[in-house]
Amino acid sequence: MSTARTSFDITISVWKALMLREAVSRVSAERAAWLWLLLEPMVHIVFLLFIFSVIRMRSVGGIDTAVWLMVGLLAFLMFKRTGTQTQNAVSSNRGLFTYRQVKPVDTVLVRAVLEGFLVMLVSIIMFTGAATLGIAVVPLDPLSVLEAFFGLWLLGMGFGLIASVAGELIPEVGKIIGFVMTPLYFASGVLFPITVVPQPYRDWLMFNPIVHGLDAARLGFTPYYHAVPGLNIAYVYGFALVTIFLGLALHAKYATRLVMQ
Amino acid sequence: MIVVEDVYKRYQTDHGPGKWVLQGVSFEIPPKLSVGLVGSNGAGKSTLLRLIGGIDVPSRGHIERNCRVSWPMGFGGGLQGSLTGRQNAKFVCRIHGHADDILGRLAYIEEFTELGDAFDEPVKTYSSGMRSRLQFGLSLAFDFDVYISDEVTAAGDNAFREKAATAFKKLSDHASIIMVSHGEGTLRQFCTAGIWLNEGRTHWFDDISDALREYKKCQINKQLNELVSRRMSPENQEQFELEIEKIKQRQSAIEALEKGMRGAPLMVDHEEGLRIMQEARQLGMQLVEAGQILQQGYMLKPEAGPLLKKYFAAPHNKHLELYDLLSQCEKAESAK
Repeated sequence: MSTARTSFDITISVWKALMLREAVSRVSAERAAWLWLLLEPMVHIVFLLFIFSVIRMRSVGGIDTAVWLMVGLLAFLMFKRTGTQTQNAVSSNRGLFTYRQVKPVDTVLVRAVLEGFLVMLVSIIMFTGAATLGIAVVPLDPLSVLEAFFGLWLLGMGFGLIASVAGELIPEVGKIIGFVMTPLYFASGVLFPITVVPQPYRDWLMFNPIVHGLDAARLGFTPYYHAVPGLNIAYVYGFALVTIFLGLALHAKYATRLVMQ
Repeated sequence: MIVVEDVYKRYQTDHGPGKWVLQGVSFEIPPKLSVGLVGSNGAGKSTLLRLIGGIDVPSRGHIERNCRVSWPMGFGGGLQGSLTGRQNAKFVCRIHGHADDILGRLAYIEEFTELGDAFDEPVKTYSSGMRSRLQFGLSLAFDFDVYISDEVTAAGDNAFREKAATAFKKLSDHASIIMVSHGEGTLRQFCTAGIWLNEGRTHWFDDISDALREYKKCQINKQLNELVSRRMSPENQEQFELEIEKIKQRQSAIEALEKGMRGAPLMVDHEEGLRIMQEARQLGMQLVEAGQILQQGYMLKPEAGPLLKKYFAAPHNKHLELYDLLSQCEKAESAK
Protein backbone atom coordinates (compact mmCIF):
# COMPACT_ATOMS: atom_id res chain seq x y z
CA MET A 1 0.00 0.00 0.00
CA SER A 2 3.06 2.22 -0.18
CA THR A 3 2.02 3.63 -3.52
CA ALA A 4 -1.56 4.58 -4.19
CA ARG A 5 -3.44 1.95 -6.13
CA THR A 6 -5.41 2.95 -9.18
CA SER A 7 -9.17 2.58 -9.18
CA PHE A 8 -8.77 -0.23 -11.66
CA ASP A 9 -6.37 -2.16 -9.42
CA ILE A 10 -8.70 -1.73 -6.48
CA THR A 11 -11.71 -2.96 -8.43
CA ILE A 12 -9.83 -6.00 -9.68
CA SER A 13 -8.68 -6.97 -6.21
CA VAL A 14 -12.20 -6.42 -4.85
CA TRP A 15 -13.64 -8.67 -7.56
CA LYS A 16 -11.12 -11.39 -6.84
CA ALA A 17 -11.75 -11.24 -3.11
CA LEU A 18 -15.53 -11.14 -3.53
CA MET A 19 -15.44 -14.03 -5.97
CA LEU A 20 -13.60 -16.29 -3.54
CA ARG A 21 -15.82 -15.23 -0.68
CA GLU A 22 -19.04 -15.71 -2.60
CA ALA A 23 -17.89 -19.08 -3.86
CA VAL A 24 -17.08 -20.27 -0.36
CA SER A 25 -20.36 -19.12 1.11
CA ARG A 26 -22.35 -20.44 -1.86
CA VAL A 27 -21.06 -23.99 -1.58
CA SER A 28 -20.74 -24.11 2.19
CA ALA A 29 -23.82 -22.15 3.24
CA GLU A 30 -25.62 -25.23 4.48
CA ARG A 31 -24.87 -28.90 4.78
CA ALA A 32 -23.91 -30.27 1.35
CA ALA A 33 -24.96 -27.04 -0.34
CA TRP A 34 -23.01 -28.06 -3.43
CA LEU A 35 -25.12 -31.20 -3.70
CA TRP A 36 -28.35 -29.21 -3.76
CA LEU A 37 -26.99 -27.04 -6.55
CA LEU A 38 -26.92 -30.16 -8.65
CA LEU A 39 -29.81 -32.09 -7.21
CA GLU A 40 -32.47 -29.44 -7.64
CA PRO A 41 -32.38 -29.22 -11.46
CA MET A 42 -31.86 -32.96 -11.67
CA VAL A 43 -34.99 -33.78 -9.70
CA HIS A 44 -36.84 -31.15 -11.67
CA ILE A 45 -35.92 -32.76 -14.98
CA VAL A 46 -36.53 -36.32 -13.86
CA PHE A 47 -39.97 -35.31 -12.63
CA LEU A 48 -40.86 -33.59 -15.91
CA LEU A 49 -39.53 -36.53 -17.89
CA PHE A 50 -41.74 -38.81 -15.85
CA ILE A 51 -44.81 -36.68 -16.66
CA PHE A 52 -43.92 -36.57 -20.34
CA SER A 53 -43.46 -40.31 -20.51
CA VAL A 54 -46.82 -40.81 -18.81
CA ILE A 55 -48.49 -38.76 -21.53
CA ARG A 56 -46.36 -40.65 -24.03
CA MET A 57 -44.73 -37.75 -25.65
CA ARG A 58 -41.59 -39.13 -27.29
CA SER A 59 -40.48 -36.10 -29.21
CA VAL A 60 -41.05 -32.38 -29.24
CA GLY A 61 -40.49 -30.36 -32.39
CA GLY A 62 -38.80 -33.31 -33.99
CA ILE A 63 -36.25 -33.96 -31.21
CA ASP A 64 -36.06 -36.30 -28.26
CA THR A 65 -38.16 -35.08 -25.32
CA ALA A 66 -35.34 -35.66 -22.88
CA VAL A 67 -32.98 -33.44 -24.82
CA TRP A 68 -35.66 -30.85 -25.45
CA LEU A 69 -36.54 -30.65 -21.75
CA MET A 70 -33.01 -30.75 -20.46
CA VAL A 71 -31.62 -28.06 -22.71
CA GLY A 72 -34.63 -25.85 -22.19
CA LEU A 73 -34.60 -26.15 -18.43
CA LEU A 74 -30.86 -25.63 -18.06
CA ALA A 75 -31.00 -22.62 -20.36
CA PHE A 76 -33.85 -21.23 -18.31
CA LEU A 77 -31.89 -21.92 -15.12
CA MET A 78 -29.04 -19.89 -16.55
CA PHE A 79 -31.34 -16.90 -16.59
CA LYS A 80 -33.27 -17.63 -13.42
CA ARG A 81 -30.42 -18.46 -11.08
CA THR A 82 -28.29 -15.60 -12.31
CA GLY A 83 -31.23 -13.26 -11.96
CA THR A 84 -32.35 -14.29 -8.48
CA GLN A 85 -28.84 -14.55 -7.06
CA THR A 86 -27.78 -11.13 -8.33
CA GLN A 87 -31.07 -9.62 -7.23
CA ASN A 88 -30.15 -10.33 -3.60
CA ALA A 89 -26.46 -9.50 -3.97
CA VAL A 90 -26.71 -6.01 -2.51
CA SER A 91 -28.93 -6.84 0.45
CA SER A 92 -26.98 -9.90 1.51
CA ASN A 93 -23.60 -8.17 1.27
CA ARG A 94 -24.64 -5.06 3.15
CA GLY A 95 -22.01 -5.60 5.81
CA LEU A 96 -19.23 -5.37 3.25
CA PHE A 97 -19.93 -1.79 2.34
CA THR A 98 -18.06 -0.95 5.53
CA TYR A 99 -15.04 -1.17 3.26
CA ARG A 100 -15.28 1.79 0.93
CA GLN A 101 -13.44 -0.19 -1.76
CA VAL A 102 -16.52 -2.41 -2.19
CA LYS A 103 -19.33 -0.90 -4.24
CA PRO A 104 -22.80 -2.45 -4.53
CA VAL A 105 -22.38 -3.05 -8.24
CA ASP A 106 -19.27 -5.15 -7.55
CA THR A 107 -21.28 -7.65 -5.54
CA VAL A 108 -23.89 -7.95 -8.32
CA LEU A 109 -21.35 -8.48 -11.10
CA VAL A 110 -19.34 -10.99 -9.12
CA ARG A 111 -22.42 -12.99 -8.22
CA ALA A 112 -23.48 -13.05 -11.85
CA VAL A 113 -20.13 -14.46 -12.92
CA LEU A 114 -20.11 -17.04 -10.15
CA GLU A 115 -23.66 -18.17 -10.83
CA GLY A 116 -23.05 -18.37 -14.58
CA PHE A 117 -20.06 -20.54 -13.87
CA LEU A 118 -22.02 -22.78 -11.51
CA VAL A 119 -24.88 -23.29 -13.96
CA MET A 120 -22.37 -24.09 -16.69
CA LEU A 121 -20.80 -26.65 -14.38
CA VAL A 122 -24.16 -28.16 -13.47
CA SER A 123 -25.11 -28.31 -17.16
CA ILE A 124 -21.91 -30.08 -18.13
CA ILE A 125 -22.31 -32.60 -15.33
CA MET A 126 -25.91 -33.28 -16.29
CA PHE A 127 -25.19 -33.63 -19.98
CA THR A 128 -22.37 -36.01 -19.19
CA GLY A 129 -24.68 -37.95 -16.94
CA ALA A 130 -27.32 -38.11 -19.64
CA ALA A 131 -24.75 -39.25 -22.20
CA THR A 132 -23.81 -42.19 -20.00
CA LEU A 133 -27.50 -43.11 -19.94
CA GLY A 134 -27.46 -43.25 -23.72
CA ILE A 135 -29.31 -40.02 -24.45
CA ALA A 136 -27.86 -38.17 -27.43
CA VAL A 137 -26.82 -34.93 -25.86
CA VAL A 138 -23.82 -33.94 -27.92
CA PRO A 139 -24.56 -30.52 -29.40
CA LEU A 140 -24.11 -30.45 -33.16
CA ASP A 141 -23.46 -26.73 -33.14
CA PRO A 142 -21.78 -26.05 -29.79
CA LEU A 143 -21.03 -22.41 -30.58
CA SER A 144 -24.71 -21.60 -31.05
CA VAL A 145 -25.50 -23.31 -27.77
CA LEU A 146 -22.86 -21.24 -25.99
CA GLU A 147 -24.16 -18.14 -27.72
CA ALA A 148 -27.67 -18.83 -26.44
CA PHE A 149 -26.53 -19.64 -22.90
CA PHE A 150 -24.34 -16.56 -22.81
CA GLY A 151 -27.21 -14.40 -23.99
CA LEU A 152 -29.46 -15.78 -21.25
CA TRP A 153 -26.71 -15.19 -18.70
CA LEU A 154 -26.47 -11.56 -19.82
CA LEU A 155 -30.26 -11.29 -19.52
CA GLY A 156 -30.09 -12.64 -15.99
CA MET A 157 -27.37 -10.17 -15.09
CA GLY A 158 -29.34 -7.26 -16.55
CA PHE A 159 -32.41 -8.37 -14.65
CA GLY A 160 -30.39 -8.65 -11.43
CA LEU A 161 -28.71 -5.27 -11.88
CA ILE A 162 -32.06 -3.56 -12.18
CA ALA A 163 -33.85 -5.64 -9.55
CA SER A 164 -31.08 -5.20 -6.97
CA VAL A 165 -31.41 -1.42 -7.09
CA ALA A 166 -35.19 -1.33 -7.45
CA GLY A 167 -35.72 -3.78 -4.59
CA GLU A 168 -33.54 -1.70 -2.28
CA LEU A 169 -35.12 1.64 -3.17
CA ILE A 170 -38.74 0.47 -3.31
CA PRO A 171 -39.33 -2.68 -1.22
CA GLU A 172 -42.67 -3.34 -2.97
CA VAL A 173 -40.85 -3.78 -6.26
CA GLY A 174 -38.78 -6.53 -4.66
CA LYS A 175 -41.97 -8.40 -3.81
CA ILE A 176 -43.41 -8.04 -7.29
CA ILE A 177 -40.18 -9.25 -8.86
CA GLY A 178 -40.30 -12.18 -6.45
CA PHE A 179 -43.39 -13.67 -8.02
CA VAL A 180 -42.55 -12.81 -11.61
CA MET A 181 -40.30 -15.86 -11.99
CA THR A 182 -43.04 -18.51 -11.97
CA PRO A 183 -45.14 -16.92 -14.76
CA LEU A 184 -41.91 -16.44 -16.70
CA TYR A 185 -41.21 -20.14 -16.35
CA PHE A 186 -44.50 -20.95 -18.08
CA ALA A 187 -44.24 -18.18 -20.66
CA SER A 188 -40.73 -19.12 -21.76
CA GLY A 189 -41.40 -22.46 -23.31
CA VAL A 190 -39.77 -24.71 -20.74
CA LEU A 191 -42.81 -26.97 -20.35
CA PHE A 192 -44.42 -26.76 -23.77
CA PRO A 193 -43.20 -25.63 -27.18
CA ILE A 194 -44.21 -22.08 -27.97
CA THR A 195 -45.17 -23.25 -31.47
CA VAL A 196 -48.36 -24.83 -30.08
CA VAL A 197 -49.63 -21.44 -28.89
CA PRO A 198 -52.12 -20.04 -31.42
CA GLN A 199 -51.76 -16.61 -32.94
CA PRO A 200 -51.95 -13.79 -32.00
CA TYR A 201 -50.87 -14.95 -28.52
CA ARG A 202 -47.69 -16.49 -29.81
CA ASP A 203 -46.51 -13.14 -31.11
CA TRP A 204 -47.09 -11.70 -27.69
CA LEU A 205 -45.00 -14.43 -26.08
CA MET A 206 -42.27 -13.71 -28.60
CA PHE A 207 -41.66 -10.38 -26.89
CA ASN A 208 -40.16 -12.43 -24.07
CA PRO A 209 -36.45 -12.71 -24.94
CA ILE A 210 -36.10 -15.91 -22.90
CA VAL A 211 -38.27 -17.74 -25.44
CA HIS A 212 -35.74 -16.87 -28.13
CA GLY A 213 -32.82 -17.92 -25.94
CA LEU A 214 -34.32 -21.29 -25.08
CA ASP A 215 -35.20 -22.25 -28.61
CA ALA A 216 -31.86 -21.02 -29.92
CA ALA A 217 -30.13 -23.34 -27.45
CA ARG A 218 -32.24 -26.29 -28.59
CA LEU A 219 -31.62 -25.45 -32.21
CA GLY A 220 -27.90 -25.42 -31.50
CA PHE A 221 -28.15 -28.93 -30.12
CA THR A 222 -30.06 -30.37 -33.03
CA PRO A 223 -30.22 -28.21 -36.17
CA TYR A 224 -33.25 -30.13 -37.45
CA TYR A 225 -35.33 -28.99 -34.44
CA HIS A 226 -38.52 -27.17 -35.44
CA ALA A 227 -37.77 -23.96 -33.65
CA VAL A 228 -40.40 -21.31 -33.22
CA PRO A 229 -40.74 -19.09 -36.32
CA GLY A 230 -39.32 -15.63 -35.86
CA LEU A 231 -36.50 -16.89 -33.63
CA ASN A 232 -33.90 -14.17 -33.33
CA ILE A 233 -30.85 -14.49 -31.11
CA ALA A 234 -29.94 -10.86 -31.77
CA TYR A 235 -33.13 -9.90 -29.94
CA VAL A 236 -31.83 -11.67 -26.81
CA TYR A 237 -28.57 -9.77 -26.94
CA GLY A 238 -30.23 -6.46 -27.71
CA PHE A 239 -32.64 -6.91 -24.83
CA ALA A 240 -29.83 -7.98 -22.51
CA LEU A 241 -27.61 -5.04 -23.39
CA VAL A 242 -30.43 -2.58 -22.83
CA THR A 243 -31.24 -4.03 -19.40
CA ILE A 244 -27.57 -4.17 -18.43
CA PHE A 245 -27.10 -0.57 -19.47
CA LEU A 246 -30.19 0.44 -17.52
CA GLY A 247 -29.05 -1.54 -14.50
CA LEU A 248 -25.57 -0.05 -14.53
CA ALA A 249 -27.05 3.42 -14.91
CA LEU A 250 -29.29 2.81 -11.90
CA HIS A 251 -26.31 1.59 -9.91
CA ALA A 252 -24.27 4.63 -10.90
CA LYS A 253 -27.07 6.98 -9.96
CA TYR A 254 -28.04 5.38 -6.67
CA ALA A 255 -24.65 4.05 -5.55
CA THR A 256 -24.64 6.21 -2.43
CA ARG A 257 -28.29 5.57 -1.61
CA LEU A 258 -27.63 1.82 -1.64
CA VAL A 259 -24.77 2.11 0.82
CA MET A 260 -26.61 4.34 3.29
CA GLN A 261 -28.15 2.70 6.30
CA MET B 1 -4.60 15.50 7.33
CA ILE B 2 -8.38 15.25 7.21
CA VAL B 3 -10.37 18.31 6.28
CA VAL B 4 -14.09 18.42 6.94
CA GLU B 5 -15.64 21.45 5.34
CA ASP B 6 -19.12 22.71 6.08
CA VAL B 7 -20.64 19.25 6.06
CA TYR B 8 -24.39 18.76 6.28
CA LYS B 9 -25.97 15.34 6.51
CA ARG B 10 -29.44 13.97 6.68
CA TYR B 11 -30.81 10.54 5.90
CA GLN B 12 -33.59 9.54 3.60
CA THR B 13 -36.42 8.01 5.58
CA ASP B 14 -39.59 6.26 4.45
CA HIS B 15 -41.39 9.56 4.80
CA GLY B 16 -39.09 11.76 2.79
CA PRO B 17 -35.91 13.46 3.99
CA GLY B 18 -35.24 13.09 7.71
CA LYS B 19 -34.03 15.78 10.06
CA TRP B 20 -30.52 17.15 9.82
CA VAL B 21 -28.03 15.07 11.75
CA LEU B 22 -25.06 17.32 11.01
CA GLN B 23 -25.50 20.99 10.30
CA GLY B 24 -22.51 22.80 8.96
CA VAL B 25 -19.66 20.86 10.54
CA SER B 26 -16.13 22.07 9.85
CA PHE B 27 -12.82 21.02 11.35
CA GLU B 28 -9.36 19.87 10.44
CA ILE B 29 -7.56 16.94 11.97
CA PRO B 30 -3.80 17.40 11.64
CA PRO B 31 -1.63 14.34 11.00
CA LYS B 32 -0.72 12.17 13.99
CA LEU B 33 -3.31 13.71 16.26
CA SER B 34 -5.68 11.26 17.87
CA VAL B 35 -9.18 12.54 18.36
CA GLY B 36 -12.09 11.27 20.43
CA LEU B 37 -15.68 12.04 19.51
CA VAL B 38 -18.07 12.58 22.39
CA GLY B 39 -21.78 13.32 22.39
CA SER B 40 -25.05 11.83 23.52
CA ASN B 41 -26.77 8.93 21.74
CA GLY B 42 -27.96 9.96 18.31
CA ALA B 43 -25.82 13.08 18.21
CA GLY B 44 -24.29 11.91 14.94
CA LYS B 45 -20.98 10.46 16.08
CA SER B 46 -21.23 7.30 14.02
CA THR B 47 -22.54 9.28 11.05
CA LEU B 48 -19.51 11.54 11.19
CA LEU B 49 -17.18 8.54 11.40
CA ARG B 50 -18.85 6.93 8.39
CA LEU B 51 -18.44 10.15 6.44
CA ILE B 52 -14.77 10.42 7.37
CA GLY B 53 -14.31 6.74 6.52
CA GLY B 54 -15.74 7.40 3.07
CA ILE B 55 -18.54 4.85 3.17
CA ASP B 56 -21.21 7.50 3.05
CA VAL B 57 -21.30 10.90 1.43
CA PRO B 58 -22.38 14.21 2.94
CA SER B 59 -25.63 15.77 1.75
CA ARG B 60 -23.74 19.04 1.41
CA GLY B 61 -20.17 20.14 1.90
CA HIS B 62 -17.14 17.95 1.39
CA ILE B 63 -14.49 15.93 3.12
CA GLU B 64 -10.86 15.60 2.10
CA ARG B 65 -8.73 12.65 3.06
CA ASN B 66 -5.11 13.18 2.14
CA CYS B 67 -4.00 10.04 3.85
CA ARG B 68 -4.74 6.35 4.16
CA VAL B 69 -7.82 5.98 6.29
CA SER B 70 -9.04 2.66 7.66
CA TRP B 71 -12.62 1.49 7.41
CA PRO B 72 -14.73 2.33 10.44
CA MET B 73 -14.44 -0.59 12.79
CA GLY B 74 -17.78 -0.96 14.46
CA PHE B 75 -20.38 -3.38 15.67
CA GLY B 76 -21.19 -6.05 13.15
CA GLY B 77 -19.93 -4.21 10.12
CA GLY B 78 -17.45 -5.80 7.79
CA LEU B 79 -17.61 -9.34 9.11
CA GLN B 80 -19.69 -12.06 7.48
CA GLY B 81 -21.16 -14.32 10.13
CA SER B 82 -21.25 -17.52 8.13
CA LEU B 83 -17.52 -17.35 7.33
CA THR B 84 -14.71 -18.02 9.77
CA GLY B 85 -12.45 -15.38 11.24
CA ARG B 86 -9.67 -16.52 8.94
CA GLN B 87 -11.85 -16.30 5.83
CA ASN B 88 -12.98 -12.82 6.80
CA ALA B 89 -9.38 -11.81 7.39
CA LYS B 90 -8.38 -13.15 3.99
CA PHE B 91 -11.10 -11.14 2.36
CA VAL B 92 -9.96 -7.92 3.97
CA CYS B 93 -6.34 -8.60 3.00
CA ARG B 94 -7.37 -9.18 -0.59
CA ILE B 95 -9.46 -6.07 -1.04
CA HIS B 96 -6.60 -4.02 0.34
CA GLY B 97 -4.34 -5.45 -2.32
CA HIS B 98 -2.31 -7.76 -0.13
CA ALA B 99 -2.90 -11.03 -1.91
CA ASP B 100 0.87 -11.67 -2.11
CA ASP B 101 1.82 -11.43 1.56
CA ILE B 102 -1.49 -12.73 2.86
CA LEU B 103 0.05 -15.49 5.00
CA GLY B 104 2.21 -13.12 7.00
CA ARG B 105 -0.69 -10.86 7.72
CA LEU B 106 -2.96 -13.74 8.66
CA ALA B 107 -0.31 -14.97 11.07
CA TYR B 108 -0.10 -11.52 12.62
CA ILE B 109 -3.89 -11.27 12.98
CA GLU B 110 -4.15 -14.76 14.45
CA GLU B 111 -1.41 -14.00 16.94
CA PHE B 112 -2.68 -10.56 17.88
CA THR B 113 -6.34 -11.43 18.34
CA GLU B 114 -5.54 -14.48 20.54
CA LEU B 115 -8.65 -16.17 19.21
CA GLY B 116 -6.96 -19.57 19.15
CA ASP B 117 -9.10 -22.27 17.62
CA ALA B 118 -12.00 -19.85 17.32
CA PHE B 119 -10.14 -18.17 14.46
CA ASP B 120 -11.32 -21.06 12.28
CA GLU B 121 -14.89 -20.98 13.58
CA PRO B 122 -17.70 -18.98 11.93
CA VAL B 123 -17.81 -15.40 13.14
CA LYS B 124 -21.46 -15.74 14.12
CA THR B 125 -20.38 -17.95 17.02
CA TYR B 126 -18.16 -15.17 18.43
CA SER B 127 -18.94 -13.10 21.48
CA SER B 128 -18.95 -9.34 21.04
CA GLY B 129 -15.55 -9.14 22.69
CA MET B 130 -14.12 -11.65 20.24
CA ARG B 131 -15.60 -9.79 17.33
CA SER B 132 -14.09 -6.51 18.40
CA ARG B 133 -10.74 -8.19 18.92
CA LEU B 134 -10.89 -9.52 15.40
CA GLN B 135 -11.88 -6.16 13.99
CA PHE B 136 -9.13 -4.34 15.83
CA GLY B 137 -6.53 -6.94 14.91
CA LEU B 138 -7.63 -6.79 11.29
CA SER B 139 -7.15 -3.07 11.02
CA LEU B 140 -3.80 -3.14 12.81
CA ALA B 141 -2.53 -5.58 10.20
CA PHE B 142 -2.48 -2.75 7.69
CA ASP B 143 -0.50 0.47 7.66
CA PHE B 144 -3.08 3.19 7.82
CA ASP B 145 -2.36 6.78 8.69
CA VAL B 146 -5.66 7.10 10.47
CA TYR B 147 -7.61 4.33 12.17
CA ILE B 148 -11.32 4.84 12.69
CA SER B 149 -12.95 3.03 15.58
CA ASP B 150 -16.63 3.11 16.44
CA GLU B 151 -16.92 1.66 19.95
CA VAL B 152 -14.69 -1.24 19.06
CA THR B 153 -11.88 -1.02 21.55
CA ALA B 154 -14.25 -0.56 24.45
CA ALA B 155 -15.81 -3.98 23.97
CA GLY B 156 -12.69 -6.02 24.60
CA ASP B 157 -11.62 -6.98 28.09
CA ASN B 158 -9.02 -5.01 30.03
CA ALA B 159 -6.05 -7.14 29.11
CA PHE B 160 -6.84 -6.88 25.45
CA ARG B 161 -7.43 -3.16 25.70
CA GLU B 162 -3.98 -2.79 27.21
CA LYS B 163 -2.51 -4.83 24.40
CA ALA B 164 -4.34 -2.81 21.78
CA ALA B 165 -3.17 0.41 23.36
CA THR B 166 0.43 -0.80 23.41
CA ALA B 167 0.26 -1.94 19.80
CA PHE B 168 -1.28 1.34 18.92
CA LYS B 169 1.33 3.39 20.75
CA LYS B 170 3.95 1.69 18.61
CA LEU B 171 2.18 3.04 15.56
CA SER B 172 1.64 6.47 16.98
CA ASP B 173 4.76 8.05 15.53
CA HIS B 174 3.13 7.85 12.11
CA ALA B 175 -0.53 7.03 12.74
CA SER B 176 -3.46 8.33 14.70
CA ILE B 177 -6.93 7.23 15.66
CA ILE B 178 -10.34 8.81 15.47
CA MET B 179 -12.68 7.10 17.84
CA VAL B 180 -16.12 7.06 19.36
CA SER B 181 -16.43 5.47 22.75
CA HIS B 182 -18.63 5.73 25.78
CA GLY B 183 -15.76 4.60 27.95
CA GLU B 184 -13.97 7.64 29.28
CA GLY B 185 -10.92 5.61 30.12
CA THR B 186 -10.63 4.38 26.56
CA LEU B 187 -10.92 7.88 25.21
CA ARG B 188 -8.26 9.25 27.56
CA GLN B 189 -5.98 6.32 26.87
CA PHE B 190 -6.03 6.74 23.11
CA CYS B 191 -6.88 10.35 22.34
CA THR B 192 -5.30 13.73 22.79
CA ALA B 193 -7.86 16.08 21.31
CA GLY B 194 -11.61 15.86 21.46
CA ILE B 195 -14.62 16.82 19.42
CA TRP B 196 -17.92 17.36 21.16
CA LEU B 197 -20.96 16.84 18.96
CA ASN B 198 -24.07 18.64 20.04
CA GLU B 199 -27.21 19.48 18.11
CA GLY B 200 -25.65 18.90 14.74
CA ARG B 201 -22.57 20.99 15.41
CA THR B 202 -19.05 20.15 16.46
CA HIS B 203 -16.88 21.86 19.05
CA TRP B 204 -13.16 21.28 18.93
CA PHE B 205 -11.07 20.89 22.09
CA ASP B 206 -7.32 20.50 22.10
CA ASP B 207 -7.66 18.43 25.24
CA ILE B 208 -10.01 15.45 25.36
CA SER B 209 -10.74 16.19 29.05
CA ASP B 210 -12.22 19.56 28.14
CA ALA B 211 -14.44 17.91 25.57
CA LEU B 212 -15.63 15.37 28.12
CA ARG B 213 -16.32 18.07 30.68
CA GLU B 214 -18.35 20.16 28.27
CA TYR B 215 -20.28 17.10 27.26
CA LYS B 216 -21.08 16.17 30.84
CA LYS B 217 -22.07 19.68 31.78
CA CYS B 218 -24.44 19.73 28.88
CA GLN B 219 -25.90 16.40 29.94
CA ILE B 220 -26.50 17.66 33.47
CA ASN B 221 -28.13 20.82 32.20
CA LYS B 222 -30.38 18.76 29.99
CA GLN B 223 -31.44 16.67 32.97
CA LEU B 224 -32.13 19.80 34.98
CA ASN B 225 -34.19 21.31 32.21
CA GLU B 226 -36.17 18.16 31.83
CA LEU B 227 -36.93 18.18 35.54
CA VAL B 228 -37.98 21.80 35.46
CA SER B 229 -40.41 21.06 32.67
CA ARG B 230 -41.87 18.19 34.70
CA ARG B 231 -42.31 20.35 37.79
CA MET B 232 -45.72 21.61 36.66
CA SER B 233 -47.81 19.07 38.56
CA PRO B 234 -47.78 19.72 42.33
CA GLU B 235 -47.75 16.04 43.35
CA ASN B 236 -44.34 15.74 41.74
CA GLN B 237 -43.00 18.56 43.87
CA GLU B 238 -41.27 16.46 46.50
CA GLN B 239 -39.68 14.06 44.10
CA PHE B 240 -38.60 16.97 41.98
CA GLU B 241 -36.73 18.62 44.85
CA LEU B 242 -34.98 15.36 45.57
CA GLU B 243 -33.86 14.83 42.04
CA ILE B 244 -32.64 18.39 41.66
CA GLU B 245 -30.58 17.91 44.80
CA LYS B 246 -29.04 14.71 43.44
CA ILE B 247 -28.04 16.33 40.20
CA LYS B 248 -26.58 19.34 41.93
CA GLN B 249 -24.49 17.08 44.11
CA ARG B 250 -23.33 15.25 41.12
CA GLN B 251 -22.25 18.44 39.46
CA SER B 252 -20.11 19.55 42.37
CA ALA B 253 -18.48 16.17 42.63
CA ILE B 254 -17.73 16.22 38.97
CA GLU B 255 -16.30 19.70 39.16
CA ALA B 256 -14.02 18.77 42.03
CA LEU B 257 -12.79 15.71 40.25
CA GLU B 258 -12.27 17.55 37.04
CA LYS B 259 -9.58 19.56 38.73
CA GLY B 260 -7.67 16.36 38.95
CA MET B 261 -8.54 15.26 35.47
CA ARG B 262 -7.25 18.39 33.87
CA GLY B 263 -3.76 17.29 34.73
CA ALA B 264 -2.74 20.11 37.04
CA PRO B 265 -1.63 18.76 40.41
CA LEU B 266 -4.71 18.64 42.55
CA MET B 267 -4.12 20.24 45.91
CA VAL B 268 -6.75 19.34 48.42
CA ASP B 269 -7.21 20.03 52.07
CA HIS B 270 -8.81 17.38 54.15
CA GLU B 271 -12.24 18.99 54.11
CA GLU B 272 -12.44 19.14 50.39
CA GLY B 273 -11.03 15.64 50.11
CA LEU B 274 -13.68 14.33 52.43
CA ARG B 275 -16.37 16.11 50.52
CA ILE B 276 -15.22 14.59 47.25
CA MET B 277 -15.19 11.15 48.76
CA GLN B 278 -18.61 11.47 50.27
CA GLU B 279 -20.29 12.94 47.28
CA ALA B 280 -18.84 10.46 44.94
CA ARG B 281 -19.85 7.58 47.16
CA GLN B 282 -23.37 8.93 47.48
CA LEU B 283 -23.55 8.94 43.77
CA GLY B 284 -22.42 5.35 43.78
CA MET B 285 -20.05 6.12 40.96
CA GLN B 286 -16.82 5.04 42.57
CA LEU B 287 -15.47 8.53 42.28
CA VAL B 288 -16.67 9.28 38.79
CA GLU B 289 -15.26 6.48 36.73
CA ALA B 290 -12.45 6.58 39.22
CA GLY B 291 -10.77 3.61 37.66
CA GLN B 292 -9.82 5.61 34.66
CA ILE B 293 -8.75 8.84 36.29
CA LEU B 294 -5.96 7.19 38.22
CA GLN B 295 -4.40 5.91 35.06
CA GLN B 296 -3.96 9.51 34.08
CA GLY B 297 -2.41 10.21 37.44
CA TYR B 298 -5.44 10.95 39.50
CA MET B 299 -7.52 7.85 39.62
CA LEU B 300 -8.89 6.78 42.93
CA LYS B 301 -9.42 3.10 43.29
CA PRO B 302 -12.66 2.25 45.04
CA GLU B 303 -10.89 0.34 47.76
CA ALA B 304 -8.62 3.33 48.28
CA GLY B 305 -11.64 5.28 49.44
CA PRO B 306 -11.70 4.31 53.11
CA LEU B 307 -7.92 4.64 53.33
CA LEU B 308 -8.03 8.07 51.83
CA LYS B 309 -10.66 9.02 54.30
CA LYS B 310 -8.35 8.05 57.14
CA TYR B 311 -5.59 10.20 55.76
CA PHE B 312 -7.80 13.18 55.25
CA ALA B 313 -9.13 12.80 58.73
CA ALA B 314 -5.66 13.04 60.22
CA PRO B 315 -5.07 16.75 60.95
CA HIS B 316 -1.41 16.83 59.86
CA ASN B 317 -2.29 16.11 56.24
CA LYS B 318 -3.53 19.57 55.54
CA HIS B 319 -2.28 19.96 52.00
CA LEU B 320 -1.18 17.10 49.88
CA GLU B 321 -1.04 16.29 46.28
CA LEU B 322 -3.76 13.75 45.71
CA TYR B 323 -1.58 11.46 43.68
CA ASP B 324 1.16 11.30 46.28
CA LEU B 325 -1.46 10.66 48.85
CA LEU B 326 -2.84 7.80 46.89
CA SER B 327 0.49 6.15 46.35
CA GLN B 328 1.13 6.45 50.06
CA CYS B 329 -2.20 4.81 50.65
CA GLU B 330 -1.43 1.99 48.35
CA LYS B 331 2.03 1.45 49.80
CA ALA B 332 0.56 1.35 53.25
CA GLU B 333 -2.04 -1.13 52.09
CA SER B 334 0.42 -3.46 50.39
CA ALA B 335 2.79 -3.31 53.37
CA LYS B 336 0.11 -4.80 55.57
